[in-house]
Amino acid sequence: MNGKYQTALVRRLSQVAAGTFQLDLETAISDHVQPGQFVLLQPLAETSLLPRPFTVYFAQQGIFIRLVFEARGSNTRLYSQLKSGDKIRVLGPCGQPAVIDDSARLAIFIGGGCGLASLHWLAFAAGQKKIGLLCAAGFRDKDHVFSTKDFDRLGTPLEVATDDGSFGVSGTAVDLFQNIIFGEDGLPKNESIRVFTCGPTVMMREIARITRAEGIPCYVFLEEMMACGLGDCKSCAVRTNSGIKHVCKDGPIFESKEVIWDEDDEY
Amino acid sequence: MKTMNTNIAGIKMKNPVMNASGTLGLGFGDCFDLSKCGALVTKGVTLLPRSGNSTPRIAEATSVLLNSIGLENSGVKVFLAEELSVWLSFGVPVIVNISGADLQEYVDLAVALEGHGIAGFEINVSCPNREGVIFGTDPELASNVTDAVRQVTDLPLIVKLTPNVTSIKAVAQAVVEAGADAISAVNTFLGMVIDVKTRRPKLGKGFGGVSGPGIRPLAVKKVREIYEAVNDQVPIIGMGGIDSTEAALEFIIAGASAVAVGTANFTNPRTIPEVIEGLERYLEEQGLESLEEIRGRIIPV
Repeated sequence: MNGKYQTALVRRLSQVAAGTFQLDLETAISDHVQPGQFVLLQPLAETSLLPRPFTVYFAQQGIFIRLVFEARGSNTRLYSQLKSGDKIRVLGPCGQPAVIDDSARLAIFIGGGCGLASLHWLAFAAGQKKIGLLCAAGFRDKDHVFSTKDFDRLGTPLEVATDDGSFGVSGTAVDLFQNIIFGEDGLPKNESIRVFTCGPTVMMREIARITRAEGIPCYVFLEEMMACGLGDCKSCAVRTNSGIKHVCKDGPIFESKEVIWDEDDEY
Repeated sequence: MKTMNTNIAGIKMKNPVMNASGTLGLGFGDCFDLSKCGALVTKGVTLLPRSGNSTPRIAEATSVLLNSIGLENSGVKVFLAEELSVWLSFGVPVIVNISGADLQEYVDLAVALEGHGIAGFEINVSCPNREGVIFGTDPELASNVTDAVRQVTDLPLIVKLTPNVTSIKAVAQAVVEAGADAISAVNTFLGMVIDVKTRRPKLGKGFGGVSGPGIRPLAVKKVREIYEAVNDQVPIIGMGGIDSTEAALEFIIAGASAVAVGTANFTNPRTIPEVIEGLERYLEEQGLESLEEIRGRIIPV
């Protein structure tokens, strides 16, 4: 009955890049959370009222969930100061698990900044399905690059671009994606490819545009201001071709061609 | 014998704690046993489906939340066919919050919903009419809505007042004269937050309703004003930033017979059961038989 709202125990907190932290929480949510789903952490800042959502980076069933986040605001800064043994209330798992259908032969993961954190577990799961993987991410600079070792373990090194060229190639995640699709070793453009992307909206929108033109199914992790995380408050609305959907209940992953991206479009 | 039993205009509740409309739905059943609530209040139901406002629909400011959801809901037909039976399955009174754009819509909603096992209506008068005037900001318009619904139903009518008025007493008196059986107070205060980097409002609609602990003192004062105006006639359901037992008690001491938890459901989805337990403890600690003994009993400073 109380299943979704738990008090979790902080197992470990570590810094993985500039301003980027990895938080392991011991919680029963780890029993049944699946790739693509997210949790909400209780707000720790005294004047904040809303819990903060994070896609699960990895989970070891029955033991812990791992979140990777950037300390940007007052709450994420406080999360980054948690210590082993601290307690925090967590709501989850929320949202729909990601589905990679059986006809997929190649899954491409494109992350922008800390958006990469949302893709890691899904890439891991795709790898276990014995399908091809291509993973790429863009970061500000070398200090912000994270997760490369975790992707190495998948047997598919993460292709990295940085805005200033201080790590990997100079450019953006979109540049890397264009190179994957249109580059010299161009890919066979057929139905067996699936693209998953998470990052700034401008980036996801551009990847959605390219995949649409190329006829490649693409899935985006959407973010909207969220309150309940349970589908009840109707805050995190997304306009889609099949009507209003909600990130917390129907998402966070949406097929990009379903999303109405143009903000000037009428309902 | 100690009791938490509460009677709001004939709606018999086992404790005085309910949710504020729109802040708790069936999804919360995964967080606590909803049958613990004194009553359940549905999200605002409208005659026709509504897709709601543009995003962002919520924003935070210091100790407050702003929302402009825009009454997104599937309309009364789908509500009756798919949702109401689940609300009723918890065995506690279900109060349906209704919103209309004109008197006929309120009437049609009440007629459609009557006889389906609901305990009463909460009439939202904080929405605009077809001319864009908020019903609840004008005693006459608010009275007209109440009267119109009163004509078609014998179920308890709770009118939820907006605080965005010069005299909430005048509106309270008007709706009570028109047949309201109880008053919910308060709905959200109108507000705005601006992103100074982009100079854009942080809500898609530009402004929204402010809720949360930051508005509590304002809400307590409004409840007190209403209590002084109409207490001898109808009970008050107090709300506005209730996030703890102490906060709930403030409203009760100000004059509320029951309380509703809103924004705090997001901060801590188990606020309602925690407040219920807290009120029980308070009775114990203070040696009270019921909260009625302290209701409205402010001791002058």
